[in-house]
Amino acid sequence: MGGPSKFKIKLPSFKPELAESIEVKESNKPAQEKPAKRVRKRKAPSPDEYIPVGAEIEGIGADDIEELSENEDEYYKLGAEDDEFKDYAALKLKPDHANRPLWVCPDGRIFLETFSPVYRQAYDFLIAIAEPVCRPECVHEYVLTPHSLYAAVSIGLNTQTIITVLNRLSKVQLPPEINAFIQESTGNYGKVKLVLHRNKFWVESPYPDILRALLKDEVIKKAHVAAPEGKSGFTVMAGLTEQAALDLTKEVEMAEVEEIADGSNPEPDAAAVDLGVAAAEALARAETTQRELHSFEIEPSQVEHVKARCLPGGLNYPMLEEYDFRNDTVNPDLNIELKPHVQHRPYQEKSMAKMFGNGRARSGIIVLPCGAGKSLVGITAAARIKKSVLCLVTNSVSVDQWKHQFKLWTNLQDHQISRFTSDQKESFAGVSGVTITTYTMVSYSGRRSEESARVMDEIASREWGLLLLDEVHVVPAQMFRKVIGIVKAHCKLGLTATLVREDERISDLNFLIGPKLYEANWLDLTRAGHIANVQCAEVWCPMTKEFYREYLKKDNAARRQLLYVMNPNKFQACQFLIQYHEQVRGDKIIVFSDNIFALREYAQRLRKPFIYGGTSHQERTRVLAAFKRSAEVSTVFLSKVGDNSIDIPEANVLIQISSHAGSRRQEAQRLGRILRAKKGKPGSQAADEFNAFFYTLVSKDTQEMYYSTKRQQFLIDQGYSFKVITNLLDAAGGANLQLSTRDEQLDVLAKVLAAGEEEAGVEVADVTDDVIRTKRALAQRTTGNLAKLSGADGLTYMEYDTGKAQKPRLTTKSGKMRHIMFRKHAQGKL
Amino acid sequence: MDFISWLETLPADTVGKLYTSHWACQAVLRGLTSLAKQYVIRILFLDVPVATSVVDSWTLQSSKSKHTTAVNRLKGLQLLLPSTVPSKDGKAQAYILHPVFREQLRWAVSKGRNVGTDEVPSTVFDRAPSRDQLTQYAQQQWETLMLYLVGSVDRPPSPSPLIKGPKLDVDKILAGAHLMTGSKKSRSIQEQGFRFLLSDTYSQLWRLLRVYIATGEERSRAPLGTILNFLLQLGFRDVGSPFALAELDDIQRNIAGDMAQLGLIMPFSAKDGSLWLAPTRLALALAGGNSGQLQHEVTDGFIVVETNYRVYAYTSSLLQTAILRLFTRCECVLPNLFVGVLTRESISGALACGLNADQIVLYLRQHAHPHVASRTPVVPEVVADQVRLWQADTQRVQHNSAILYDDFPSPEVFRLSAQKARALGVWLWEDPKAGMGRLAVLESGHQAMREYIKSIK
Repeated sequence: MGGPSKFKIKLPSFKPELAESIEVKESNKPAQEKPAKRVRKRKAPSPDEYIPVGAEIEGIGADDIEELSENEDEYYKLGAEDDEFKDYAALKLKPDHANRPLWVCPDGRIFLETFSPVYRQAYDFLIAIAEPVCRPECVHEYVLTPHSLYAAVSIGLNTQTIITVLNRLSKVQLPPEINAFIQESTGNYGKVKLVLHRNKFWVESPYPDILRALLKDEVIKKAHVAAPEGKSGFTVMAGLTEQAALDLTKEVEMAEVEEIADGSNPEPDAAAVDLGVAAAEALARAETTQRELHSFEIEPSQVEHVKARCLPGGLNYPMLEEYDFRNDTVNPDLNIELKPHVQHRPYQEKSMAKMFGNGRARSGIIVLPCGAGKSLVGITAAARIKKSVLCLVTNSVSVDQWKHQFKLWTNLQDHQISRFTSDQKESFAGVSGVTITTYTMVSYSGRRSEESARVMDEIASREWGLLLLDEVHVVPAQMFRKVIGIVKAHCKLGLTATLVREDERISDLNFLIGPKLYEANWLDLTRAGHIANVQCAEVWCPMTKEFYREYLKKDNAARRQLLYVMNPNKFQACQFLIQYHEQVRGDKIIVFSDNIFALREYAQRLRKPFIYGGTSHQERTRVLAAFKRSAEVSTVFLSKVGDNSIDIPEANVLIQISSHAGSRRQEAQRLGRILRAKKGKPGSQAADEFNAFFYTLVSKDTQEMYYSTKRQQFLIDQGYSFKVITNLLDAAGGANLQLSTRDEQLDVLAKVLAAGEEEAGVEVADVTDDVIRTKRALAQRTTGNLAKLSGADGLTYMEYDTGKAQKPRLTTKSGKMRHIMFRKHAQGKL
Repeated sequence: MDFISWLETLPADTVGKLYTSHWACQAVLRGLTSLAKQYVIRILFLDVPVATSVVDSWTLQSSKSKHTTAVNRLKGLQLLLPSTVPSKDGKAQAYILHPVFREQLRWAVSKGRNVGTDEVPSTVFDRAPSRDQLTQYAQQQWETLMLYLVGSVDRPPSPSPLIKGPKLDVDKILAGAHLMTGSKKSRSIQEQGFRFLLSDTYSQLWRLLRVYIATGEERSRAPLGTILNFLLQLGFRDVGSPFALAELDDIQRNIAGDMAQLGLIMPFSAKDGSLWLAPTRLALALAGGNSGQLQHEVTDGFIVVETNYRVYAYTSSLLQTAILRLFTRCECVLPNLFVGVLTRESISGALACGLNADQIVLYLRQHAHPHVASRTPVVPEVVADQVRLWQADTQRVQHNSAILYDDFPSPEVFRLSAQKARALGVWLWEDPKAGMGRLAVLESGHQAMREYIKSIK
């Protein structure tokens, strides 16, 4: 909006500390685009500083804030500068745009209307080619990335199809940038496949020219096993068409043709007719081009070299790996069948269709919300491949759970399933079977017991049909490299609920395991009743005066977290919620606290059982069993160990009293604990009624406010909304709550202030020393306890405090390294 | 402030004069709330006063407040005049409907007909603009005016070349309505201007017309009734049904020219060269009242607000984009879609412009896309709550001028003073441990406190 006489208005003057705490990220745009005066770097917020009232409360990605006025001289213009947003108003709108469901922006963003009649088809297509950014109710946002396009190609979509279909769905003419971007990203991907077929390795491609080009390369020529019948001829065979990919495009076309046929306008205009014709053509093309596959054989010993040679650094034809398990005669079959009663939900079938799209198994990652039946997807894949399966999970509790799942869904017997943990070192009887173990057990590099070494040898020596990787998001890349180096598997399937995309680990996963094959939409699943309908709430608890005074003191920096977690108002809110849900609704409640001191304190005051890293396996199992079965135990307190994989289907209320800084993934994982679909309470038939509750208690005016906003981002992007409750305790009224007198509160305060520094911090003693040591984790105090290898120990979260608070914990105040004995001593005190 | 609220502010005899037009009476009736409307209809055909006690008995106790509002409004509009009725103990308070208003409305109810149903030659109809053209014209003129107000365009909407006469001084009207200060090059929007932008067209229109009528009176020395009557009559015409410019007198012709500039009527020339005027949809709002207006807003809705604070607006209008950018951070603009985010900063910016959270939420609700308009709540609860919380955040700190007392002669004096301060309701803070104690009280209580302390020393 041009015009020289833009009026100006003053923006409010921020308090200095407020302005300070607003993170400014240099955007990719060149700085000179902005008036020099406005580019002023500010100090990034450190979690250490007191941040007033969630100063960075931000709708979307705090990192996105670009410019903010910081003093009175700055002006805000109504017709803002052109460089402050993306102006794509010049894109050409198609005349029949109302019938089309999406907009494609030149920067790769895609906006999709969910109320379009072709939404379902467009969604299936988009999820195959783009990354979902946020998926609330009416308008979804996606972004095209090289990775997402790579994934699209790997399930069999080709460049031309992607462009044609995308253009057909788009309300605006496809921007040339996008066209070029798709060409560039997909041009070479997926053209060449490495197939293990009848135990020989084949380089396969529908394009003989590419194979010829590859064969000109020295490395590949050396590896080439010449075909006996002809000199340069390739083996030609009829490949199955890419069913999943074809379905996607076909569905879009069908839906559109239908739309036009029974649309409101009786005479289809020229554009519509064109559309129909184009659709028919594309269909015909898809059917014929995919039929012929050319391939040549290569030496098994040369596979690694050939693969490396084909990477972008070399010939730039990255190879997709596929496993032709039906024709694998060397590895013995596993007699595994799903039980007849097993029924798949539509999204489970869809993910399977993507994985086995052309009759072969391809490696990749499937993303489903917690509680949506990820295990069944993994087990179905195993039953489809029918070869030995190695299943890697995060802790020993979930090893037991996976074994239970295998027995529940399939005909496998006890002797065919072996567990390999620190307690159980089994091997299965017979030539094939299922082994379930933890990441840490496999990747552990230290000395092993004789028995353990024997099982490891078995694992390492076997050629596995399927490698199932549970909760892939929690495992660091190095550990993966190690595991994948040790285990030889034809097909790798990663399962996760939260592939948070901003961490760099995603690209590692992409190449270590494979592209993302499928990602479900949480909101759609909720609507269909496959997962619980959760009411999320953030409860604001004002700090009591005494606690806040201590919180603000400089020398209490280390105890800050404890102070805001132990805030008496928060305690009362927690007690009130527990009482309400236990007594009024008869719910099962989990309370999460990262802080062990608070966990113990809360649990003991409220007389509830609690589980943390130090709890023994037997004790854990006992408490969880009681929680599941007994009406007496309706509430359990969990530390971080409960975040992943502990399956507690009974729980439907979750209260979070302390958490790991701003980890979005932890928030989503915790929500996952209560997502398993709940049976409706008798009498409440309404489909949109909430049947699970997720409360985050935050102390007002503390760092927690800032963190909690950050943590919720992932879930908000999935379409969840967090209701802010500011006056819970006013509503509580006469409820009989503890800590309501000042004396009691001061007692707690004294206890908090007396707590040792290491007690006041987060639970870190849990992380095993040898395996998971990311760069920053080095600074954490750890106990190298081998006995804990089997616990929920493989957990790290991506986001760490970067502030000054992160003093190396291995050292004491005086700066000396702590001796192991003192560490043990401190541990004992806990 | 709309038409009705404005009438209330006028002196009784002006209003009385206005009621001599049945158009004005009908417009007033339409502008009333449904309860007040009901009361007027009830007593319309009564020739005798109604006792206040009877009127008060018409509603249940639980709706007393609505009743009081309705009655007060009717009294304010001079519709209910005090009177008396004979009763057991002499005379009792009563109401009677304004006699002139009563006659006019009775006439309108029983014999009235719409304006503009006179015969129009078919040669004129052939040239009459279509509904789409009318809507487009109205939108273009009105939006240009709004854009001129926010400073996105340099010129106010252009007057129609067809109608000769003095041009409308847009700057004067905008300034008169306290929406803008200065003129031409040096204009700038006022705080009230932002609020104005967010309000509905009906209120916007009347706000400007009030000023127009007032300045028009000065200019043409026409009695108040003339302009207002013409405008109200315009409001009762059917959209698009043409009337001849030639039938109007000079004053009316000038007004017609001005209204054409604002987009209320669209002038066109018939085959024979005669000039005709067609009222647009905007003109309907003149006599439409609030209720009529809201309905058409719903079908025109274009905004979708998501739980993740995103605002998607199906619009290519510069004005709507500009308004949205008052309180959202714009992410990108597509040919027919605006994508923005409500952020703490964008809302703080809007609050600083003089908007408030409720207005923002109301705007989002009133302009909701038909697809979301049916869901409840239209604007996700979390978003509405958060916008209000952001506003509350800016109001957490309260400033009070205060006086600090220290150096008390004894702890006893301190204790008594603190007690006194509490009793006076001016106590703010005390610290008994510092010296002989320190005490802060509101400045307003300083005089009383000083005297008290002197008295007990």
